[in-house]
Amino acid sequence: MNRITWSKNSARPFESLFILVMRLLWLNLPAPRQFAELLGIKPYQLSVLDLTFGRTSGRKVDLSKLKEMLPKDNETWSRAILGEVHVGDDVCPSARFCKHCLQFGYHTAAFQLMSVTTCPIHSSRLIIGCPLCGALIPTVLSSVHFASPLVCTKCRQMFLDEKCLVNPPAVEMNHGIESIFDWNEKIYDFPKVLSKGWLEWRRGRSAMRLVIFPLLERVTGMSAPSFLHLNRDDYSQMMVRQISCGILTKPSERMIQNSGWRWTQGHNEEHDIALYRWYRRRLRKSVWRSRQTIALFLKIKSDPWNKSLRKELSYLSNEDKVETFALMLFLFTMEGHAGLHAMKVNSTRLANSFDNLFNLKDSECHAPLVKGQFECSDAEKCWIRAHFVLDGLRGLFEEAIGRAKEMVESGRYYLIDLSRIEGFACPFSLAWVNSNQQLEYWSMVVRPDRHRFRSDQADFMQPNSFRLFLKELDILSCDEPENPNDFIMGSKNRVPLGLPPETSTMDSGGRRGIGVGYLLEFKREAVRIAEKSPNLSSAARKLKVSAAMLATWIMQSQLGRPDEPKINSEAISQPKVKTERKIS
Amino acid sequence: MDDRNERYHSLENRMHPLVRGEYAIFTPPMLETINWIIEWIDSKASGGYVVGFSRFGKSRFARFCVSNLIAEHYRGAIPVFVHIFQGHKLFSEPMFLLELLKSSNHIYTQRNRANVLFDRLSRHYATMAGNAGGNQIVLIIDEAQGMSPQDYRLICNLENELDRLGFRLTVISVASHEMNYNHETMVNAGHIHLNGRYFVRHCRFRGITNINELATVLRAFDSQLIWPEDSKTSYTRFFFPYSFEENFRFENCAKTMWKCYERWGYKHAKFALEVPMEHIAKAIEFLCRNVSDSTVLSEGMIDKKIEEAIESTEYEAHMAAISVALGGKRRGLG
Repeated sequence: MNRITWSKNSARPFESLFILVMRLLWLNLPAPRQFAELLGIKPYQLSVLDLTFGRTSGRKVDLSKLKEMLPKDNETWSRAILGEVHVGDDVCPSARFCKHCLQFGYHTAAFQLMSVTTCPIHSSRLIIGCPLCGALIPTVLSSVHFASPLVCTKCRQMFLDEKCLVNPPAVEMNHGIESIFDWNEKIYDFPKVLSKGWLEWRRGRSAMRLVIFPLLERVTGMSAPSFLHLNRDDYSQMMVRQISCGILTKPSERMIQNSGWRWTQGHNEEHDIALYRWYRRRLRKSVWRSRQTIALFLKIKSDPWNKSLRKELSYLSNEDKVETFALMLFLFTMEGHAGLHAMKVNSTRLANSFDNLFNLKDSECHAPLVKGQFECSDAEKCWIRAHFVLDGLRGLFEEAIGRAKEMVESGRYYLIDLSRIEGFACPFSLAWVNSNQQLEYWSMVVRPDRHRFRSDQADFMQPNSFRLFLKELDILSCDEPENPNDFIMGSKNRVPLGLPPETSTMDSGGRRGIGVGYLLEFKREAVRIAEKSPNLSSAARKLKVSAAMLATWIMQSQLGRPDEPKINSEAISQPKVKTERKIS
Repeated sequence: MDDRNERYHSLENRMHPLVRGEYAIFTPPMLETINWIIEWIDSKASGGYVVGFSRFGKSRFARFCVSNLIAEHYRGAIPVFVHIFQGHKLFSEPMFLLELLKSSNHIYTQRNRANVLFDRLSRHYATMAGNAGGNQIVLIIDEAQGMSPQDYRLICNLENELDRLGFRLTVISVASHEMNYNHETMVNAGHIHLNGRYFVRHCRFRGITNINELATVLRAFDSQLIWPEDSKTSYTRFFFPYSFEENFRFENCAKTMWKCYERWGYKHAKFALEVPMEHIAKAIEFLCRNVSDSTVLSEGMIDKKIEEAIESTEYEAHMAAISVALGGKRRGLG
């Protein structure tokens, strides 16, 4: 039986996933693809695997295979990483070490917490990065780690004794480290903490952390371990309490400053904003049950100290809550945090595919995939773009539904910037001073055994009212599949094109589809029809016909306006919404 | 063959180790050799070689017995890796390292750069030694007569790297008698350091030299070799159940067998007789295959079958070949 090289003495208490993986890499020197196979994850997940949190791209990775290989009990394993209970601001992106622990080849995930400044075992000050030259050592797995694990990229020196890696000396159970983990887990079991009337605000990450921890300590009534560096005195007079979730309603400064979203130069971004507004209106109409709830949240926001408002929340059904929080997350991402960048970041592949499919020039459109070009009016360009913009918005809202459902099931709510989930692996913590000069802190508590979306997808397979709601929303406007397993939350069944399902493809990463497949297929179909027509002779003419048909179809399927084959840019900026119209 | 053992040929018993040829007998020459090897390990020697003529049971000893014997002696404190050297036309460092990784059951045995493979191998050996609770590793290389000085230089580098990590490597080369010439060639070519590490210590793996040793080997079939596991059924009892109850034992055939070995062995070899283990084991397998339980006790039948069995192993031809290899000198095999 083939085996990995691994020391059986390695089951040391609270050892971090970072040091475990580094040791595994050093001992076995696998290629990235081999290592991905060993872990049972995909290679692209490996390239962004955050060893501090055991997550890739914001989603938890199933590392059960690694757990089986390395003899670790459940508790030791669960504390090898930091969970979402730990504030992102409090986590150091570079590896932190205790010099004395390093002599034993020991590192614990608790060292990554910025609030922990001294080693609980040796009481020595923790250092960031390479102990020899101070260069930062990223905790996100990269090709550098595979080429030379545990070697500083700057000074090229190995910062750990090789003998400790081969045969790690035993480290006794330390209750100091255990108390840090325990305290963090207990204290973050609060959805939101809000201060009252606190005006003297200090900017900066460390300042935020220093404020939040005493605040959490007070609201929970649990004193922090002595190893945590908290500045309690400065904030002893601050009033603080735990409240329910709220929502931001105004666009953030960031959105105003960076509202541009350009796939191609010369594009008028107001069109995208108009589309977004139209989509938002449509969502709000569809999610009619949530309107009252949102109003309630707004009341809570205006008066967070009013206890009576929170009682009404208990009358909401789970589906109402899912709808509400999905909308909240969607709006928060678009308006409160990322703006139109949400679509861009969340749909990088979508943008690439757009560029591959259509190259919009002044008066014509090049289609590299079909090796052709055709004349393209401004209105046609708008139609094509509108499709991709709406697809991005819908993808984002799907993400919001998944997250909201998870929150409702777990009973723990948080706001999250959905646009970042593809690009970042850190947990999502929010703490800022709101317009009322109150300090808001949102905890990121999610049950550790949850696998995002997998369970949600399984639930979607069951016929229930939630699914009907989705259909009503036209996010999943497919017919009822005969086989429940055929139901996939993606582009495969999302758009009623009348074409066989296999013509709609998933994108290269296997993510939710962007509809490139059905666009191409539609184009081919249009060309075929054009060829049959005796009046059309030139290839350019045929392609133009196909583009016109494509644009018409996009408008029909996305905007629900089958009677108007052409719209201009003004029409897009002021769309007339007909939500109930079905596509023939 | 008019007579055959139905138990041997039945499909139900095809998993029997004797039918599959997957068994090993602990012989007196093995005991002598393992004592030498243990002495080398105890003295933390870099290496030594075990040499002997082909078919004497060296490979079976190296592949199946020695790791168990060392584990038993040191109570698992020393990991033993057994590698069967594969000769190649040209020396290739990555290839040799890959083969060593494969023989140590490492999970990653795909092609890679030599330095990566080297580090992977050394760390694997070191970790295995650390897991065993000691700081010594034993590497047994079978068919070592084909190894070149470059191969040994690589082993030397491996030993140095392990030494740096705090572990000691002992390399036991098991080879046929050609190794004696390689040894001399290596000294003449100036590879004194390799010679000093791996060829100064050596021992000869001899064959069965007398009737008592032969009886010991045969006794293993009667009592020590057991199948199915956790049963009390010896191989002899398994294939000859009725006769075994009637006190039939292979051990009692030692005299007859030895006479045959002497007769055909001395005919060609003018040296102190050493019977290769294979010609004993194959003869027994022949008897288990071609003698039925009902006829084995017939008077004179077993002697006749024994002669037939030894003849079928081409023992005479093999001894003639050894005699030619030794140049007809009147001396022992060593």
